[in-house]
Formats: sequence, C-alpha cells, structure tokens
Amino acid sequence: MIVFKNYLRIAKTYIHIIVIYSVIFIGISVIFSLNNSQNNTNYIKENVNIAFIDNDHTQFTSCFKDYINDNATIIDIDNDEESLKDALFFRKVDYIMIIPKSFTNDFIEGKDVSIQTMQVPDAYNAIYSKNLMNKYLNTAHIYLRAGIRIDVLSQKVKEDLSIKTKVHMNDPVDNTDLNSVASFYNFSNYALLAIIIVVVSMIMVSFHKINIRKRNLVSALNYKYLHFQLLLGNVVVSLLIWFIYVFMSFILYSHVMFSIHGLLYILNSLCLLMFILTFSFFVTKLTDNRELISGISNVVSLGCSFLGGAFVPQEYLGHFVLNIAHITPSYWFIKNNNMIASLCEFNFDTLLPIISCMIIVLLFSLFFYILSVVFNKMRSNAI
Amino acid sequence: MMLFWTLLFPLILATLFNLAFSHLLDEEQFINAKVAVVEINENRDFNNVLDELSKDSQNQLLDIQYTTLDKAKELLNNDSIDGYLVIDKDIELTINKNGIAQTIIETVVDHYYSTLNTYHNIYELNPQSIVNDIFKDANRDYFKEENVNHSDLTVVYFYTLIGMNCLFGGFSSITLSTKMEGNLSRQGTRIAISPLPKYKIFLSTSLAIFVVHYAKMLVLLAYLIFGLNVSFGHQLSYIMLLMAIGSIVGISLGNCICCLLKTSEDTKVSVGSFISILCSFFAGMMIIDMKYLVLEYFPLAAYINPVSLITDALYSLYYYTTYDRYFFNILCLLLIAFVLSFISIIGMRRKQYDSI
Repeated sequence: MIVFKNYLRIAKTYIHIIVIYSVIFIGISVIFSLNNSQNNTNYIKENVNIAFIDNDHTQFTSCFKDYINDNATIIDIDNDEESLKDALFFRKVDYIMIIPKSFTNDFIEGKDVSIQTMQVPDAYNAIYSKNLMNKYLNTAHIYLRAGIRIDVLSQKVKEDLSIKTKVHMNDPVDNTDLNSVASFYNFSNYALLAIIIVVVSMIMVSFHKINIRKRNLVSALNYKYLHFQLLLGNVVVSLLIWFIYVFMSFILYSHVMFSIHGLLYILNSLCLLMFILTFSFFVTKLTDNRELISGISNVVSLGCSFLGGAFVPQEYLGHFVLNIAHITPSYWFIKNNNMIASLCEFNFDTLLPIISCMIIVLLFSLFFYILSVVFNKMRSNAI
Repeated sequence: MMLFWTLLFPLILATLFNLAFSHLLDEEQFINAKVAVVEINENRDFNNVLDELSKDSQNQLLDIQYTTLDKAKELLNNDSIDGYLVIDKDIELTINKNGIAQTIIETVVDHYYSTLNTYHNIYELNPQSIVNDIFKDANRDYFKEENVNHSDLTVVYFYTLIGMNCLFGGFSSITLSTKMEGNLSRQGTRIAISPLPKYKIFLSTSLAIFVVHYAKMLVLLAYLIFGLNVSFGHQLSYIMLLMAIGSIVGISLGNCICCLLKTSEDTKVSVGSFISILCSFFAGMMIIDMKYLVLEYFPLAAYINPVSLITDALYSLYYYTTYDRYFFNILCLLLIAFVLSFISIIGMRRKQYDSI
C-alpha cells in the first residue's frame, strides 16, 4: 500500500486548507439553517413591519400607534427621506406611514383627511395591513358620528378591535428542526463540492507529474492496483471531510440526527459524496493545471448549488431553471433532503421516492467513474 | 487564467444569479386568500361580508367556495385552500400553516365581530344615531399611496458582482508588479537598472492594466444589460465613470498588496482574492441584508469598503433621482484609490539593490 501511504502523506500538507474551509463553511451553514427555519406549531399572525412617522403627536395618534404596535411591528427609523427609502428598498419595512400635522383635529371635525404612505408596488403585506389600519380609523369615525366623548373614544375603539377569532391549527407537526437540518445539508452541497474537489484534485495532480507517472507506469506495481490505491486515498480523505460535516450536524441537531430522519439525511449525503468523489477523480484525469482545477471547482460547485437550490430554495426557482437543474446531482440531493424533512411515516411507499433520488445520484457517480477510467486509459496510452 | 477569473467567472456568476433570483420576488405579488366556508348555522350578515370581499376586483381579498366539512378538510389537506371557516354559533377558522393568507382570513372574521360590537356599543350609547345611518361611509380608505419605483431588490446582487470584479483588477497588477521586482524576475532586474524614473514605469504599466481591465468591465456591463436585462437606471455615462474609478481602486489595491507583502505571487493573489471576497460579502453579495446591516450599524465600514461603495453608487443611480449619494460614493472611492496608490509609491521608491 505504498501509493496509498504516500497519498495520505501529501494529504497531510493540505490539512490547513481543509480546516479553514470547513470552519468557514460550517459557520455559514449554521447561519443559513437558522435563517431558514420557521415555527409551524402555533398560529402566529403575519408580521408586518411599519415605519410610523407621527407629525401630529396627540393622544389619538399615540393610541393609534399602540394599536399598530399590537397588530404589526413598528420599526424605528430616522425621519429623513434617505433612511426611509433605504429601509423600504431592503424590505426592512413593508411600508412607511406619515401622519400629517393637525391630523387629529381634522379627523374629529370630519374633514377629508388622509395619511400618506410609501410602499413597494403590489406588496401583499401592505394591502392587508392597511385594511387593518383603515378599520381602526373607520371605527373611530363611526363613534365620533354617534357623538362619543373624545376621551373615551380610543378606549372604545380598542375594545371593539381586540376581539379575536378562534383559530385551530390542523395537526400541528413540529418540523422546525427537520427543516433546519435540511437547510444545513442543502448548504453542505456547496461546501462539500468546493472543498473536496479542490483537495482531492490537488493531491492527485502531484501523482500526475509526467516523470512520476512514467516512473509509476514502469514500476512492478499492477496498474489496476495503483489506480485502486489512489481511489482508496480519495475515499479516505473525502470521508474525513464529510465526517466533519456530519459530526457538526450531530452536535447542532442531535435529537433529529439520532432518528430515522437523521439516518436518511446521512445516507443521502453519502450518495452525494460518492458523486463528488468520482467527479474530482474525473477532473484530475482531464487536466493537471492547478489553476484550471480551482476554476472548475468554483464553477461546478457554485453552478450546481445555485441551480439545484442550495442557496435559493427550490420552490422559488423558475421552471426553466429547475429543468436545467435536473442534469445536476445537486438537484436530486436537495430535493431528497426536502422530501426527508416532510416525511411523517416510514413505509415502502413513502421511502420509495427517497431511495430513487439516491439511486439517481449514485448513477451520476457511476457515470463519472466510467468516464475517468476511460480517460485514464487514453492518457496512459498517450505516454 | 487571469482572463478566466476577471472575465469568464463574473459572467458565469451573473448568469447563475439571474437564473436563481429571477423568481425570488414573485412571492411578494398580490394573490388572494383561498377559503372554504362550511355553514352549519346560517349567518346572513357574515355571508354578506364574505360576498363583498370576494367580489371580482383588483384588490379581491378572498376566493370563496361553500362546501361541506369533510370536503373542506380534504381541500385543506391537499393545500388547495389556505383555511376553512365553520359558521356555527361562533365562527371558527382552521388552518394548516402560518402565512399572510391565513392572517387575512382571520382578520376578516375579526373585523366582522368588532363591527358587530361597535354596533351594540353605539346602540347603547346613542340609539338615535343608528337610525341616522352612521354606518354609511364606514369603509373609507384613509391612505394615500405613493409607490416607489425601481424596487427590485435582486439588482443589488449584480451590483456587488460589478464591485467585486473591479477589485479583481488587482490580480493583473499583482502579476505585473511581481514581474517588476528586481529580485523576483529577470525582467524586473532590467527595469531596476534602467534610467527611467519609477513613477513613469508605475504609471505606464498601471495605465496598460487599466485599459485591459476596463474593457473587461465593459463586456460584463454589456452582458448584464443586454444579456440578462438587469436594470441600471438610465445614466449609463455615470455607471461607466463609476466602473473606471472602481477599476482604478482595484488596481491600486493590487499594487499596494505587492508593496506591503514580501511573499510569493501565489500568496499575494490569495490575499487579493480574500480581500475582494470579504468586501463583497460585507457589500451583500451572499446575504443581501448584510449591506443594509453594515450601513445601519457600522457606516464607517461601508465607507472604506470599495465593493460596498460601488454597489451603493449603482444602487443610488437605480433607486434615487438625485446624485448626491452617488457623488459621495465616488469621492470616497477616489480617496481610497489615492491612499492606496500613495502607499504603493512610498513602498516602491528608493528601492535599490547592491547586487542581485
């Protein structure tokens, strides 16, 4: 196993790259998975963010503000046009509401008053939220016409509007953590592709220097055995990197990972690993140029991740993109992760689509393995 | 290889951005809440409310179908509706998950009850007023809307890409500066003993790098505008000026790295790409909220980050009608370019070798 040992010796010199990459990627994955998780067990009102600019400052407007605060979130933003418009563009607020001077007086006197708002065209949240605000003002208006005293007005309106409908949540399933784990593994698609292709191909390139290749070819070692040892080296190094990832998922989401769901995530990820492995092996058969390899690694990892839905969830991608994505294993891997997350019962019917996705990914790896063997043969003949 | 990183890679990345983000904002568009209604006891008033809200109009809130309880449950399980209402003595809502559509349905029922309550209250307060039809005009819209134009958030991703590629101009200057070092290349040795002043050599090589890099930037811009239809506003000349200054910043950054670091070319290139990627990250290339967060909490960090400044300048051209912010960003970029070039010239001058 002299070739294998040598492989590991070279791998050791890349240990710092592996560690730095892993730390960065795992850090991002954690942020990413926390960002994408949401709670689904209780009914929660949709949160609308509003910038509330009060130029009137009366008791009525402050009660109105309290009402808004109960039904939405008021975001404090400096009252200058640039800050407000920036907040709107980056969707920190859904709309901006500006109460004009002497609004309260005009409103009580029944004049034709209006509140100016700034918003993104056709935003769903804004339309809904304005309905809510109009309700408050309309109710207040009715009381005023009925001749209510101003000091009890706000209290009456508040009383009426605080009635809440009973809402039932159908079969609450707590899949918050399952979704987080799915996001974590979805992101791993990018991380594993990027790290493993670079590391494995850099090591393999060392064996491809023309003199070393010639020496290996004339040695007594059987060519197939040599090929096998190199592949074994790749397997060990890739498994090690993969293991860091899986280990992190156990630390972060232990109760999900110690279940059948966890097992499925791991198996699925292992299938992807097989693909990455054979693909990196294939890349080194294509070229010995280190810069070109790092270019290929970047384009393939980013390309597969963008198209497959590792960054932007698959449900937000267009049909056209998803159709192209079918030719990347990442698509099947990520689709599978999402299916695992929504799995409730385990039987043959529910597991079949998951297993088929895994098989598709394995077929991709078989394809690239065959390609690399063919290329290898061609190149050996060329020497 | 240089051509790959500074020309092909941004083009590929832009294409990927375009594919991935083109449908991202569709979710924001207005769609109505689909609701099934199960009537156990008839409630005429409430039915009227529902009819009113499901009228076919531009702002139609609800899409309603009357059905049986079993059918409603089935529809909910298939995700064909957002929720169903059971009208008995009380009205109750059943849903599967949280979302804006569910919130709208709930709000409709809330409104119904609160109106009912208002009616009772007023009856107690002033029975006479009920007769006076005070409920007329009870659905006024108090809001005067102003829609902001140019609100497509995803353009920022492409702007950060332009910013990043400006900094990638540094790669060429790193390669070239390394070739000009007397101790690193034969060519450099020859340049070092030539009588030509250092600043002339520095300026002429920088100019050559600039011309080539700027041409690549224009290709990227043309691809974004004509190939991917990314919106940039209408001030093309301002954008080209910005890209020129951005490229100068990138090239000066490369020169500066070369003067400050005494290591191999590979390490310098790695440092250069690390700085570019880090700047792009804080400008919002990976997570778009980052740009806003930095601007909100550490504005100083945004003013010294060239990618952030370039992104912000492009954003202000796209979103604002005034140019104040654009020129402020340009000014910051020029300052950065000046400081970086100053450092590199200080580092280069008086460099002498007794023997190589």
